[in-house]
Amino acid sequence: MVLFRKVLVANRGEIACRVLRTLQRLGIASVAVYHPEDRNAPHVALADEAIALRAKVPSGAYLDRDQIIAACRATGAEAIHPGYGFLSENADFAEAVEAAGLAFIGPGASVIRLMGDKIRSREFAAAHGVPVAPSVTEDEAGQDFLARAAAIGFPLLIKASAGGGGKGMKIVRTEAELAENAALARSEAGRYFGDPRIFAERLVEEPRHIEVQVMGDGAGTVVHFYERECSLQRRYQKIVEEAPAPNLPAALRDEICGAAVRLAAAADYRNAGTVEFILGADGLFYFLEMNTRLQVEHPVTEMVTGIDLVEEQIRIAAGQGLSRSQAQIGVTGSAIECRICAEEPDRDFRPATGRIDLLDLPSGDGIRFDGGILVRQAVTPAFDSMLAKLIAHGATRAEAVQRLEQALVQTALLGVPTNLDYLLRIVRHPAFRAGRLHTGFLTQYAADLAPPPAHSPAALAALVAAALGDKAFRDLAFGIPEPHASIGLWRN
Amino acid sequence: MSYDLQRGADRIRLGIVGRRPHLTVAIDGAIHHVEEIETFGESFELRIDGHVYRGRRSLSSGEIRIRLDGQTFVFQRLHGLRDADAAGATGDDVRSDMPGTVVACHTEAGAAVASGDRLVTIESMKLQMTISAPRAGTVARIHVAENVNFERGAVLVSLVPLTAEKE
Repeated sequence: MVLFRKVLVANRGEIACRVLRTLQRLGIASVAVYHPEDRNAPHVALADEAIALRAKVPSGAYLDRDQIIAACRATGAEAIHPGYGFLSENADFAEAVEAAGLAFIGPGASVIRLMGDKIRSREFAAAHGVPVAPSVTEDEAGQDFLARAAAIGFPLLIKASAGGGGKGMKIVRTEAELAENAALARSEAGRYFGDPRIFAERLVEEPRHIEVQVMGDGAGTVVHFYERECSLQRRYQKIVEEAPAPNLPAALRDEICGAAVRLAAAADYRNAGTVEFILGADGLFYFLEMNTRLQVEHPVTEMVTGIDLVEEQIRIAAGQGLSRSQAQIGVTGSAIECRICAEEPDRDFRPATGRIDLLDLPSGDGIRFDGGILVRQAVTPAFDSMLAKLIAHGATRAEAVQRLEQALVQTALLGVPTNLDYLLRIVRHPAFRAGRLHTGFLTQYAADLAPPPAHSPAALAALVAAALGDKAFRDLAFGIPEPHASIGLWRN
Repeated sequence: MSYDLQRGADRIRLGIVGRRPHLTVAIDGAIHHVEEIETFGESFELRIDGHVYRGRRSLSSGEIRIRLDGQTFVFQRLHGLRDADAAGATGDDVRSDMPGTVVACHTEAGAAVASGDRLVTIESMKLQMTISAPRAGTVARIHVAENVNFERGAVLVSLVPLTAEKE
């Protein structure tokens, strides 16, 4: 079976490394691209070849379509894997890649465009029998929008049509707040996305975020790889994800997965995609959006299905179709992922920078660590704050939770503030252990998830250990300077 | 004899009470018995009041970081400790608690400053703020220049006491 001889990975960090590992396993030659600031990054070292891209700001390099396509030409790469973020959902790029006679490892440009537009994609979903939350869209008649929005009933959620990441999103609880919030959302939407169109939908209180991994061959066949629960979010961004969704009745699971397949099949979907839904406590679920790429949290699906989704993506892009039928895809056990980010959860998740000076990776049964970080690496504000992902699989959810907890304790990353301690507090929380998840979880339990009191036996031990690491303290404590005591410790 | 470390907003003092047969320290009015079982590279193993603790430790110019029991602790080093990058400074380093860029320097090396005098103006996350002298002193060194980026915890300015001699 010939897939491709050579593939270029148009990304960086953990996802570039993850794609490169599958290419290596399949015996496909690989090409990395990088900004000079990333010249020592792991993805550059992992690839068979690496091409430097010029750009004023580092992120610009990974967004430069022309240079990336030129890098394919220069190296003879036949296909491009875009990872997630950067150009992965850029329809113009997908088009340019195919126009250059290369394969884009992802869906076609028209589907990317359709799903990239929140209004059009909702209309498409509704037209194909996929439930959407009661909503109204803003059209030319601005005044009418308010009346129609009020008619849905409160609470309402107002969103930017072109938006994402929570920007331009407003919750409206009473009719009195409606006009002002609509105006605010419109102005934020215009500022962030260059498109002031907004829409309003029924707000589902304490919703769960359930999404379905789908894969289509582009010739009419679509399969699903079951669902993931991604309800734990801060600032509308996921930080803990799992598969399968805990406490989800089997009939409801089938219904949600079926709706996702229906949507993807209607779009003649090719390659990997994720259909996102919100699920209310009443068991009603609504289409949120479709992401036309590999998701950050895809490893939990790989852990429970035993299928390498990147390999499937490559097969489909190479015209080999899906490797298995729906009946051959099953779920074994439970898997949970934590996103390890350079941020300060105790200071409103403020992104942090620094230089990694100590890194201990976890290991053990069912543990997977997807990273793209090295000791001595600088963490700069130039890129996303996510450093790595820690995934634990177990025969049961309880076993996965216990393995994840152990692995979080094992992991050490010093030199840059991270959310590791916060993640451990989440994983140890009784409501998390019980699988009682919803998107307001981290806010609801904020007090429980706050840092422990500064006076604890561990804090005392850390203080003493810190002092003992300092030559100045040792000189005081042990009277005479100990020439050998400072080896491996602080040196003046 | 005592030694201070800073953790967040708190300054913590370790008083050295005894050295033999093992180290005894006073912290917050309580006495603790400390034995170092093993130190190997970045790993340490301690016995404190009979309990054994194993962890990992890293050191940089301004901070000592500890990973222990699934928790991360960061301490700032204080007085009497020489900064590797700023030999000659006797402590009293003025730091920024967030990464940013220097917009303007308002003083120069050798200048005498009073408590509250403006030292530098920085910009971080699109917010400008002025860093002032925490007490009177002489500016020993300015570690940054205008339009230069720095990281969280970076030493911006080192002060020495007006009357003190350099070590």
